[in-house]
Amino acid sequence: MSTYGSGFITRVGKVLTGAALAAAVAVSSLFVTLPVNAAGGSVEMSTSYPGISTKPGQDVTFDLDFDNRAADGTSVELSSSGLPKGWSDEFTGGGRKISAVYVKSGEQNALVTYKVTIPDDTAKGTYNITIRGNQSALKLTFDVTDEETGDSGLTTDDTTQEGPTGTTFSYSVTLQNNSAADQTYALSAKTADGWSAVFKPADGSNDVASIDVAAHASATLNVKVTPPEKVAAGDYEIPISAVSSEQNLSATLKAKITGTYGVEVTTSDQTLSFNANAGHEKDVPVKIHNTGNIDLSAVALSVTAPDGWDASFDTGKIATIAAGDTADATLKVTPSKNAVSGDYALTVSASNDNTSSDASFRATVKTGTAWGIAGVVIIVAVIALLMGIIRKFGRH
Amino acid sequence: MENPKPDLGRSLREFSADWNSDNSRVNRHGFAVLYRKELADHLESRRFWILFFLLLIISMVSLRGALNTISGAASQASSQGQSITDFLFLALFTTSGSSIYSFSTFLGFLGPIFGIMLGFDAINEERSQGTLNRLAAQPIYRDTIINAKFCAGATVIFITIFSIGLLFTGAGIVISGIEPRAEEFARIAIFLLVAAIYICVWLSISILFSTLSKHAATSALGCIALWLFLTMFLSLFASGLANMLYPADSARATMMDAINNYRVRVGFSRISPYYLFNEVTSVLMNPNIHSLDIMSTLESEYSQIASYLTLGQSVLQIWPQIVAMFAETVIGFAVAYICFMNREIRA
Repeated sequence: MSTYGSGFITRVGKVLTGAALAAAVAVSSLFVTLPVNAAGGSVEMSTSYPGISTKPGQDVTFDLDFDNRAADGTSVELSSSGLPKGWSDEFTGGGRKISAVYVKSGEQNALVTYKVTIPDDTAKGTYNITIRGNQSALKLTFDVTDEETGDSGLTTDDTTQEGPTGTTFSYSVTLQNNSAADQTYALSAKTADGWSAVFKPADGSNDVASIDVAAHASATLNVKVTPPEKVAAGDYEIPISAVSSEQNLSATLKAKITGTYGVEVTTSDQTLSFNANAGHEKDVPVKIHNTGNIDLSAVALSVTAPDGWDASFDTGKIATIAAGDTADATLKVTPSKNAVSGDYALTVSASNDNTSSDASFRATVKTGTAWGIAGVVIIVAVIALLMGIIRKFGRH
Repeated sequence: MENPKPDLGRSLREFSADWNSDNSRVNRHGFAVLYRKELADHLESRRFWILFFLLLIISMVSLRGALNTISGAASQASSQGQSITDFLFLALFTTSGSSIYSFSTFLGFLGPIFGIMLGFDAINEERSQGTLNRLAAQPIYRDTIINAKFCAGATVIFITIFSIGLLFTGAGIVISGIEPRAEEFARIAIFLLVAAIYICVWLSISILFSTLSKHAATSALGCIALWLFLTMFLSLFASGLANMLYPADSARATMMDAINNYRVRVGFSRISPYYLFNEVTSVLMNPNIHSLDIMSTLESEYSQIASYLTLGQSVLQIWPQIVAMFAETVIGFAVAYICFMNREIRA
């Protein structure tokens, strides 16, 4: 049923098409008296910006406008001449490559696009191309301005970063390849001793030593710079470079290390424990070490001891401790008279306006041996008494 | 003593001459004979062996009880993720079982009985049997008799305490499988030494009673009465006295009252060797105990870091107690000596 139906419709369609063709032939034969050539002279081809400045390796497009002053539309043959060696061009319209365009009566803008591809090895200079549409000619001028390598470069937005000692600096660097060929860049950083710099693609997770950048493309790199742990305050420069077989790009990263404040409380042999007798003063030598890279001034020392204890420092504030230097102080501790044998905690802290540090000391209180000696004396006295009794009563 | 500035060289020379004199030689020989005879008498007597085995059996039973308690506590501690004490072996001596006292408690209780048993009839038995006259007729100084008796008794005490204590230690190692550390061994040795001194206090007291009373039964009863009083009732007297002086349970009682009350009670209790021995045991066998003084303990309660006392520090804490027990022994013996020497021996 359906097969029969569709066959019937197809047959009807063919009959109709044949009829239309016959009618069209009849109509065209009616107007054949108008000469095509005469009408072609009335079409003018133009473009808004016939002179253009460009770079090698770029595509240049021109929108072609047509003005048909005749009453009838006409077909226009498109051609170009004077194309420099190695250049290529094409006319496009309606999304396709074309060689002719039918121009209706009146003004028609951007009917055709003319595209010229300028090869990468084009020398600097002025080039002309003439394109024709029937009798209308249009001279296009190309001013090729730049050399091949163009703007290839290594740039960073944040050249100077600032941070205290121990900071890891992270720079965002853009590597632009403006050459015609893909490039493989070897990445390196000239770092001073103790410094390290690693490169990581912005979209990657692993550190890389080289990176591929396609022609006319760019890559963003993260450069992580780690200064040495004990770096002095100051300005530092880290030259980085990206070297390919054809290019040698470089940039300089700048880091400003600000000072760090640090202080540590310790003793000469690093032991934070000492013995003391209940009720007796004990001197504990304490060292205050400036671990930062800036001199510390007015370092105050304080100590927290258990209730009933007497603990203080012999010195008041320490006026200055040079960076990396150590100051001595003596902690005077008197455990409470009733302090039971055992271990106690004391917290010693050194602080100034910029930094502070605590150290926990362990004091082992020992019972004095004075009473032990008294006990021995009592035993000796008792034995002497016994001997005296024996002498007096025994041997007579 | 008579000479405030004794010439050490001269006294030594005098002592040496005295020591080497014929009289002294004979006396030393007599002392050795007497000492050996007394020792043999003790070791052959039935009552010594009865008490020895009583102590031995009791110590083994208390070991069993302590092991039960400790293994229960240990499994509980490990199931709660807590660590067991570092001095687990010492706990065998002081931990009591569910229905039995600990070894140290038994020593504190029954040790005096052992000492009394060795000394209560030392002099009066000889006198009532008439052998004292014969002894006094020997070519020895008269005090040699009481000296030899005391020394033999003390020797028996040391032998007994150390043999039972070491048996306890050995059995503890074998049964529990705990390896004692060197410090634990040292603490056990000092503990046994103190226990022996503690029993010697009672030996000298019983010898004193035996010189004072004519009949052995009287002196035995007197000793046991004193033992009962010092062990059981002195604490009641002490707390009664303390409450009288510093009533701590009234509404007006201050913290100071409570502390003074405690101090009076403890100070009065310390007359008893039993109390002293218990204090020694608690400090020596538990390095966690830092002080016996209430004030210090109160003050240090919060400021102190939990830690173990070293052996030396522990001994220093209980040194006064040890000295007191030693002095009580010597003074008790000295009084017995004076009494013995002043007694008319010949009937």
